[in-house]
Amino acid sequence: MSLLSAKALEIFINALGLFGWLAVILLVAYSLDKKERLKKASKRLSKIESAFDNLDEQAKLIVKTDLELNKTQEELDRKVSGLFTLQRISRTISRTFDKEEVFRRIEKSFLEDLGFDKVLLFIWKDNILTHRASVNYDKDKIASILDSLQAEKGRGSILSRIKMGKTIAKTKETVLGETFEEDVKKIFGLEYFFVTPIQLKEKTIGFIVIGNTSEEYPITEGDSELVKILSTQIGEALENAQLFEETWKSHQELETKVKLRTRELSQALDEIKQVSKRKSDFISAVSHELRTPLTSIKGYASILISEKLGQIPQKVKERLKKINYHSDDLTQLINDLLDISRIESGKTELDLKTLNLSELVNEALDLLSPQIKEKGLETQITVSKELPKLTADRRQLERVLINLIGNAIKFTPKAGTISVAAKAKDSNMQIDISDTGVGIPAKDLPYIFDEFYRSETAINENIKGSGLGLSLVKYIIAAHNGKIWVKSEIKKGSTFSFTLPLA
Amino acid sequence: MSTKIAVGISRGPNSLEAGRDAAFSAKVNLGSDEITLAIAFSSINFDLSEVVRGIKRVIKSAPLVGSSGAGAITNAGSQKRAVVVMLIATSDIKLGISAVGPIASGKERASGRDLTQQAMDQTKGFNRHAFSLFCDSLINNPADLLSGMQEILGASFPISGGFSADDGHFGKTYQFFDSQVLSYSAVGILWGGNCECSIATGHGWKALGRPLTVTSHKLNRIKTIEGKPAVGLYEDYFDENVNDLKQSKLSKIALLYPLGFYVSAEDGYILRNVLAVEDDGSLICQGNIPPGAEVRLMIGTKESLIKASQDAAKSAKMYIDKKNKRTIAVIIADSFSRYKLLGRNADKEIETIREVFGHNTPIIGFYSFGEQAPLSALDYMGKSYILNESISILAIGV
Repeated sequence: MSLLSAKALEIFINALGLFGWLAVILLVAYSLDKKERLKKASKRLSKIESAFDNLDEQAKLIVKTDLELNKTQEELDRKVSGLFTLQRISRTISRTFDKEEVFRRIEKSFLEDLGFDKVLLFIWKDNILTHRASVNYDKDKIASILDSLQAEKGRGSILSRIKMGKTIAKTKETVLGETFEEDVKKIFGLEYFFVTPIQLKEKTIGFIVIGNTSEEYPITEGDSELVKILSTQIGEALENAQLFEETWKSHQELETKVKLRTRELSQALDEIKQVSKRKSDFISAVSHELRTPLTSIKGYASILISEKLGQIPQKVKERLKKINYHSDDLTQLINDLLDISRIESGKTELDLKTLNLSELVNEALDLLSPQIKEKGLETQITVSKELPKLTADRRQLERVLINLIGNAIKFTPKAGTISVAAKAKDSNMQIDISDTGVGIPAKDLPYIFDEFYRSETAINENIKGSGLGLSLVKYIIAAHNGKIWVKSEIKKGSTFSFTLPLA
Repeated sequence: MSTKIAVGISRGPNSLEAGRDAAFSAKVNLGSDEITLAIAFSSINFDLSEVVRGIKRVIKSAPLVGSSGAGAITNAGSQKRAVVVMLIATSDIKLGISAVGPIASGKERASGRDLTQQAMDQTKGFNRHAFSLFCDSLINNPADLLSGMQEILGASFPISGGFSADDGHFGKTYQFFDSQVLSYSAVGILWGGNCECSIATGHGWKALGRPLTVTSHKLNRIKTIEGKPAVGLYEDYFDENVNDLKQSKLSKIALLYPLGFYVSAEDGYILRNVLAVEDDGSLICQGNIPPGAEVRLMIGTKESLIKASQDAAKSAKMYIDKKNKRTIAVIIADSFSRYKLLGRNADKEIETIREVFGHNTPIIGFYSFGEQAPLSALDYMGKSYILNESISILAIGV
């Protein structure tokens, strides 16, 4: 420092004085503080800067995670909506059993909902590849595709791969052989595609081509499942249609056969009816013809027996009584035949009235009581007076009861039991007439109600009967819209049951 | 006659029948032969000329305005493939309808002016409430078209609607005007007379990560962000190579994570879809970039998207209620991106809106490639913007 400068400093220090020094000290202190504060602010700023950077890094992580989530969600959405669409397609195509309609129902809207641009469907018919359905392809392009497919030769061609049941796919993830991929793209005009066989009972019957034209819209491996389901559904719909067609055809054949057979049966029935009518007419005519002379025979026999024409020897009288007796039998037989004939031909009109079964049963038992007493039979009657009333022809129902109870008496050994029971069931009354008699052989049961049918048993040979009683009963019950049946066991007895409508 | 509005829908499959059946169903519900206007939206899967022919068979000489969409909306929910028709029979509402196109590049602003002027001329002497715009999404500069409209209508006149869409291929989109099916055009309805209109919008995306400054942009192209090529934002966040992003990956990522531009005057974010990456790393957006833009990556969930739609619907209804009017119709332009993102939940979004307006209020709409609406609703009708990934709801009250 020069002498001049040192002097100048000394003058300046002296000039500052006490306040001046104070100011200088404060200024220096302030300057130091400001520097310190700036330093701190700078530190804080870099902290904020670093926090911002951290936040930005976190934001990047959030974005990446969110992107992954969105991708997964998108894939899931795509699959769910794809499955919804497949369900719709399935519902639509499975509602028809017409093969052509199956193809017609593959609509553009389904394809769009599945997220594809174009579809083509081919089927082999009699070994000729034919186009059956398409969306967004024109006729010329389809014709050119068919030409190109058929022009391809060899094991590696599209058609040979499809016939082997292989799917040809170009997705975002898969790569086909470069030349082959370009060929397929060119043939179908698609950037991404599935060419999937349609199989029926494991045999390839056709194939579906589905895909997108733009590189912007790649299809993924995940879509392959949807396309496989779609081709399976189409295959199943076609199979169902074929099965339906076959079933329908056989149904038609069956129907024709049934019609033919029905016609034959109807003719046979008509013939049987005619024969039956002729039989009835014959029986009716013969019965009438027989009854007249029979009445005369019986009349003359009665006159002779009464000895109004003079006394007759005892032996003659006995013979005449036999004539009279057998004439009665014959008259009864003829009357039964006439009744059957009338009922069968619908000539008998029922006089339907509301009846109390209990009264009728008691009357029938009264009438038959001599025979019951004679054989010492026990009777068990379970026919309540409180039972609902019946609608029936009184005279005919009496005949039914007398016939069935009479049979029971005939075929029940001495000291046996005959029972009559009745119960109301639904809109009918069921009446059961049982005995502890000899029973009916099982082989005879199906024929027991046939006219003139008599069981060939030793007992039956000793018991008189025309074989018309049960037939008559059956006809009377049927005329009342009732049913009759029998259960029987040899040596244990029989139960004849029949139903009649309630009033 | 007062005002009657009804909606009909048909899924086809035949295009002519789809148009005819949708219109017929609407006419049956309307219960009137005097149709003032028909609004129709159709998915692209139909032959649209046939659809229009089918509709005209039913509505005869009544005018028709509409658009193609990536799907259709009615009270019944969203339909990927459908024709929906709204029929209006009114003596209360004064309607001006207009169409311009094809709109040549550089003529967008003039076309916007022309479109508006036609509609204004038809509503002279009446109060005008809102403009419904359905515009081709592939015209060169839709922001200029909107500016042209605002030159005639006024900067804060509410404009609502959407950009016509196809099925996501961005190939060709269509507008309907009377018997014509147009492309590269715009059609519109000016709502006037004795009615009230309320517009609300929402998106449901939230800002994520640090705010970044757009350092260079022009129209819908962002050249640089923070001085670096704009694609760097997505490379950085998604750890993706620029070439992978170029190969269509970015448009899918950006669908889920759009860019959000903060608009301080509106205290909200305008979203932009990124359509492509240029060789120099510029991002091409679906819509112009707001000036002085601060950009952020946006993230959303299905729930937040649906909640935003519900809030927008409530907001639109509240305005009509406040004016002591009854909402008689709702017209929706809902972003195709939201439709894609919501997937099977798309119906839930419409159901939520339906619950707000009541199950019997006729609703019609379409899934669009961009929407228009003012960011704020209710009492303040702010400037209308071109939006992406948003829902624009127009409620009509009488």
